Amino acid sequence: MRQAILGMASCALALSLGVGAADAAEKSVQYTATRAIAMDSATGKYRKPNAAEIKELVAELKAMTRQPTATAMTATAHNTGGVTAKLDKAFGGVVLGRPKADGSIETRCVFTFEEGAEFLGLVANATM
Amino acid sequence: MSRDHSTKLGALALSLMLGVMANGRAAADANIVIINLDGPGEGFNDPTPATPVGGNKGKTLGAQRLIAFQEAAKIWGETLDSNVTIRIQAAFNPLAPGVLGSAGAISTSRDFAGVGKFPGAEFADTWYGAALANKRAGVDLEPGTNDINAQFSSNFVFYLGLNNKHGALPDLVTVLLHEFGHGLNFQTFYNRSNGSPFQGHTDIYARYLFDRTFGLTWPQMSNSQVAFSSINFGNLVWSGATVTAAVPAVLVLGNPQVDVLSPAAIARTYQFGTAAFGPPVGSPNVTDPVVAAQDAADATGPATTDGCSAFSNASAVAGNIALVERGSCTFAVKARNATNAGASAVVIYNNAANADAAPPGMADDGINGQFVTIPAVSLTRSDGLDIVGQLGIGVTAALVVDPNVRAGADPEGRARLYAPNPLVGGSSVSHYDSVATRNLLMEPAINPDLTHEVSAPEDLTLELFRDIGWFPDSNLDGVADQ
Repeated sequence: MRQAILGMASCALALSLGVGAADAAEKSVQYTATRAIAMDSATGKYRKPNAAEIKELVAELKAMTRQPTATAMTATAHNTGGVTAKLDKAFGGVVLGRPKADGSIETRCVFTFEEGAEFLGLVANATM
Repeated sequence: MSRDHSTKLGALALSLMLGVMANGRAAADANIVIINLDGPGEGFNDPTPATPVGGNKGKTLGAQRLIAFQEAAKIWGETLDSNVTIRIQAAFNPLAPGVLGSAGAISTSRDFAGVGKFPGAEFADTWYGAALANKRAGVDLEPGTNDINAQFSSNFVFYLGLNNKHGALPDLVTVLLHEFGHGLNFQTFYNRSNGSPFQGHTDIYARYLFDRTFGLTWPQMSNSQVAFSSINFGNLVWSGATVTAAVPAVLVLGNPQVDVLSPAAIARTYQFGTAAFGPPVGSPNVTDPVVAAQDAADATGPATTDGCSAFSNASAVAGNIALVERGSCTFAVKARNATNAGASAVVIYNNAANADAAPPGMADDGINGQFVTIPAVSLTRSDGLDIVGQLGIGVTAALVVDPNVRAGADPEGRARLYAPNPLVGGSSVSHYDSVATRNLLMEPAINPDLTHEVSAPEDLTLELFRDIGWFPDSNLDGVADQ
């Protein structure tokens, strides 16, 4: 029994270290903007997003394009039987826009962060 | 504080009186309600004065936004049948640069029965988005919960008219038709990067995703097969009968494709991106040897492979397909230089900075595209380097249109889903393939030439909805119309 508990504890520790390492690796990824997608309120022209805007964009895109394999909330026992699961605003389509040379806006709907980053010109600069 | 804004088209009696519509369908009726989540003075409640535009008579910015939402809701309400009100909760928020909005189903249900004559879930162990589940159940399975969530950017200027004369601006009604379409179940709930079904169960959209390489639908595949399938360009198709029957009325004959014909080691059909300049693939068909363009490493581009300057090996390129690496200058500059060198076509492959990206759609730079008179396509870096590696042996490629295949369908006439290969992450299988011609509402790009039609002969969205269970039911009795 004690060995089983120690084994489970070791496994949990290993998992947490693994998850922690993955989180650290993800947070170490910085993004550079290569496209002018932010409207400058002073000039009325598009420019590249600044560092704060890039950070906001990355966080927002990642939140909007989550594809969890499960969510916490599941309800049962409807009047007609069956099971319902809340999606927690995951699996949504995200509409993006970027200006074209002729002044029009090119729009794209994406479901993954990678697609969105590529369309908006965000390039990752991993530091580890 | 939220307010209900009903967009109900008319009572059931009115629907019956209208009888058969001009397109031969019985009158449809679904009540779609926009739930305003914005606070006072913001979003839908923004009091900024606005001039009525394109049939939108709202006199404030907020009112015009809401009317545009109601117009999109009305179009879907006139198209679909449900005796359960479809509730779309919506708000305008200051989103990050480049983000216009998002929408999706709020919940999914499976293994639900129907009340009375309503059929319930057609398939066991299968997720249905909230609105579709309620329609088939004949009752609201989650009475206290809305069905679709939508938020859009208050920082972005949309065209708010209802007449689709949007000019340079994105048409909000069209964008909403697209996003509401996802919320109405034009989407899968699989994790496309690892192929896992949501909570271990398939969904009704995935039941019709057929992979031509495996000869299987997604529920029949392992997770690793699904992950592969989600980026299996050109080989993921819709197997539903309603869409397949409508394809000939919607998609034109003539499927553009890029093939390497020799050497055998790399001979296959390639995923490619298209250009917003120059003639489309097939105008004319080109079958020629491939030659890597060489140019000076200079201020216009530091590499000799980037095609940013006049080609130094123009005599070798002339009459052949020029191969150029992406980067340092615009796509249109490279294609113009290829044109000037006498190339028959130009292929631009991703550079190292875009090593994991799908072939890009190549926008015009507003200056050089007008001088391009040859077809231009893009490839992934991996595919480009495959070709580079065989140039010493000799590579022959073809940029052609197959006249026997419809653009956006497979040789068997099944509509293709969007499954590009970006090498990392998943991809948007919840869209029709971008090669479709005519352009479809549910492609990844919300193209400026889209109409507000959602069914054949101008579109294929309703037909997909029919396949997944949005059966016609003009008297809302739960029994499908004949």
